[in-house]
Amino acid sequence: MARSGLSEWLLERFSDAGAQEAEVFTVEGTTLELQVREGKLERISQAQTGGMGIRTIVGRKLSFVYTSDFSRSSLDGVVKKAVALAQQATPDEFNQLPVDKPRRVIMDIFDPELRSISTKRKIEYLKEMEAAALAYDKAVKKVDGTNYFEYWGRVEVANTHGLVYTYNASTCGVNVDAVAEKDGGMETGSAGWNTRHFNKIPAPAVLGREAAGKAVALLGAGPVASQRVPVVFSPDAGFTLLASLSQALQGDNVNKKVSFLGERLGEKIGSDLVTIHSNGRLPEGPASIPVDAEGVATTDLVLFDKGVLKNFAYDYSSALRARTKSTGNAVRGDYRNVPGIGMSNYYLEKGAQKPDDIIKSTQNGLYAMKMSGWWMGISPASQEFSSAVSGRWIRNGELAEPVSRITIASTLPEMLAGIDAVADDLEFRNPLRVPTYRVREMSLSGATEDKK
Amino acid sequence: MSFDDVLVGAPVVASFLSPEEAAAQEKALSEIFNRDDLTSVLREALARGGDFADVYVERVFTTTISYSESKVQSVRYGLDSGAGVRVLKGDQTGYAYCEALTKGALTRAASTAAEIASGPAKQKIAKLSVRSSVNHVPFTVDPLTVSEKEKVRAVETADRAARAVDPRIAQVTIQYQESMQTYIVANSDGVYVADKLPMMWFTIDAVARDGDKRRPGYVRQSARRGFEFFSDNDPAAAGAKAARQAVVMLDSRPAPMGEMPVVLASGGGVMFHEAVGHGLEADGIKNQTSMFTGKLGQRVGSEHVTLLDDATLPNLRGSYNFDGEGTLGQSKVLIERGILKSYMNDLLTAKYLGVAPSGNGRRESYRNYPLVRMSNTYLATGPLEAEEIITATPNGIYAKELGGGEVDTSSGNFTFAVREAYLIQDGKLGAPILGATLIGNGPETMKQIDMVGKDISYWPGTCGKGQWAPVTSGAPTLRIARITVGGRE
Repeated sequence: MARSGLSEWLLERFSDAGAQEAEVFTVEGTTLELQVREGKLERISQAQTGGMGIRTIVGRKLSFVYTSDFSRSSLDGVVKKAVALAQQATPDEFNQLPVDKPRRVIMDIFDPELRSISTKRKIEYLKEMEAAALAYDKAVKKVDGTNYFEYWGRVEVANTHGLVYTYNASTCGVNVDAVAEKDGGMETGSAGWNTRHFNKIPAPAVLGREAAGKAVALLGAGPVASQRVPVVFSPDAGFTLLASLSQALQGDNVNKKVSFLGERLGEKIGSDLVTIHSNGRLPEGPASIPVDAEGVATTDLVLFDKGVLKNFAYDYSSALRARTKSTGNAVRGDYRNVPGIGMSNYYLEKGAQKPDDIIKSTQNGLYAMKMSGWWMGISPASQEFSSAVSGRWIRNGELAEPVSRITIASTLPEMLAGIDAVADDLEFRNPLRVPTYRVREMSLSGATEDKK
Repeated sequence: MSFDDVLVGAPVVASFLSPEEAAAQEKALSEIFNRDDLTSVLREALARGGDFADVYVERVFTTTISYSESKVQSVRYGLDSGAGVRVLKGDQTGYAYCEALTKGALTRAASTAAEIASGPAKQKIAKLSVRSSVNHVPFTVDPLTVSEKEKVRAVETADRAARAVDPRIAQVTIQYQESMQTYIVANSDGVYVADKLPMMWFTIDAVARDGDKRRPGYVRQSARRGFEFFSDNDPAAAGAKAARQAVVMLDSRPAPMGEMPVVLASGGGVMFHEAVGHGLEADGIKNQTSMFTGKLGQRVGSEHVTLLDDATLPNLRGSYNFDGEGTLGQSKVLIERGILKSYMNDLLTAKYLGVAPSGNGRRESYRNYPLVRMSNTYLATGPLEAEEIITATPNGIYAKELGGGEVDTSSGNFTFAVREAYLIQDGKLGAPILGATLIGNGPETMKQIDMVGKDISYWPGTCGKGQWAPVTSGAPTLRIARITVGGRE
């Protein structure tokens, strides 16, 4: 990682080439992916990667280029091309880069030990996770692969206003898909965990058993009759509500007047139990970082507070246009991606109830465990929600038979308003996470004749 | 596994070369690594006793124009290049890649990948000889030779046409993307393939607004073609179509719920991609996690169901001459009149199942090892006119335009979204409906297909299975006698 000074050198070249503003986003790191199947390593993939994504503004016109070639002769060519490309865009007064230099903060987001933990130990973890899934129940006949991935590296954001911020970050995670079989039918159950530190991943047996339990719980599932019922969302299913909302909460979509929430700031939309954060500073949050993808300090942004729509998420440019301040929500997939607006650790605040108590207080309803297809209609303009779902029926406050091949549908505002119970089981195993919660009533579409 | 419906294009790329420089760079790919170089990389890859090795070298030039609010928001242009080495040892795969195209970096990647095995070298490297193919993806105008101004003109044409449809069109967002991929595959069995694949991608998102009601409309066009793509993919027609869809949906009512007949308009092939296609990818057969395991020769659909996967259809988004392992792209009958005939294979699964590879081993980029993937998957045509199928349906839904889909290959349960749909009442089209989702179980739904038209068309998509792959799915107008519609009324 001996590239220090390169960003500054490059930014000087941009000024010389006539760019008013330029920004260099550099990442360098290593990746490792492992897959274990039937007790042995099936695949290993590794690489050292790195590159720069560069935004250039000439006459308020914007271009984006990237390169993985750090040689100075190549970078000289990059500068020329970036300036020439910007000329093709349309000027926009809000094409500007952040000016304020963020304060340095110490965050626990880097595991210096990660690379020195042997690959063998990581493979052993996967083997144990697979074995635990298989041992859970006779019905679990196989595991469709267990995976480990890690990324370990350095990020630097620098721009021509003198903003420079560098930090190290690591990510590692595991996933297991258990397959249960009965009477010729198969069901899959998954469990996974993402974190900054290898030793924060739960014991392999915990996740193996969790995946197996989910697969077994769905064996023999079939449809129920169409009806309107309360739906209790497990965390694995309930995140879909927040995922469906996120585009409408993005400041750029509000600016363009395409968000269905755009004119509703300050309105009470959800129930009192609905407090939703995008928190870039959350301790233990897998997405926590000191500065966002353009070097603006991250924040704990409250999007909904007790049901009231409080804030939208902004990057620097969209905030200028909206005459507000960036919320530190600029994100990019990697250096090849132009920055856009996205959520950080994005979650529904936990409640006081136990998940079991929510089920116990539900007479007749659906316990949703697995959602599919929910993402297909997502648009900032659309408030429709519809998804296929698998789970268990709730009868007289208890989990009863498994159900599948049904859909649930509602609108996003009706779901937010209908949340009448939130549990305390929020755990940050992914950046997008919710506790168990219940929506008072949704349309369930299934079989025509009542098979109950 | 899902068939995306969001704007996930090829990776956003950028570079620093003039078109002339770019063309020169492309020519140089086989000059950076000649066949002797690749042979020595393969030798390094098998130095620790691997059974088989291949090397994949790739370069992709991409230009992306993002346009909204009638302005060019940004222009991105660039080059993504790298190389990956794979080593097989029994059922095990070692993979490593590098981004720098130098012999040193590639040799280091080879020795990392080689670590999947441990022992002395056993295999010799066969002499590399060129495998050739008919070109299924010819193009005439290299987009790298077309000025950015002309590309912006296509985008502006679509924007104006969309806004002219109705004053209630509140916003139009357009993405133009072209890419030109060159690659080399060489393996220790002596296969050497070099090819060049163009891709065009053009999407329009329109939003219609009436009071506080907003409705989206969306059109996507994509093909493996050069800039001549626009000669029969009129940007104005595409813009108008997206806008009309958004406007029509302003008057929509919530979709009904429950089981009913559904007529899928021509182009609804995503249902077959999800309902059966993924389950016929042979990695799921090898691992026995697909519900189609052991069902060759059995009935898995009605007699109206003949399903093919064909990488050789000219210039479609899912077409190619060779897959990511250098196997020739092929046309395969998967299901014939309802009977399961074959699976899709890559080299690994073909060896395991004792069949010939079917040219379905694809990779997203040099960062990825090959996986079994579909190409262009389609339902063969039937005898009926589309109108006959609607008229023969007293009540149900007409799904004019589908969105994406998703399947669980172990249970076979699938779901897909309907972007534009209408009620069918007394054999005639009625009111537009909003938010319909269709769900079912693969084989069960295949048995419910009772009418098939003669009007096939193809829908371009990007399929996700841990890696993204450009695909198309095709189908004529057809009827599913009974399927669950997930609405809210």
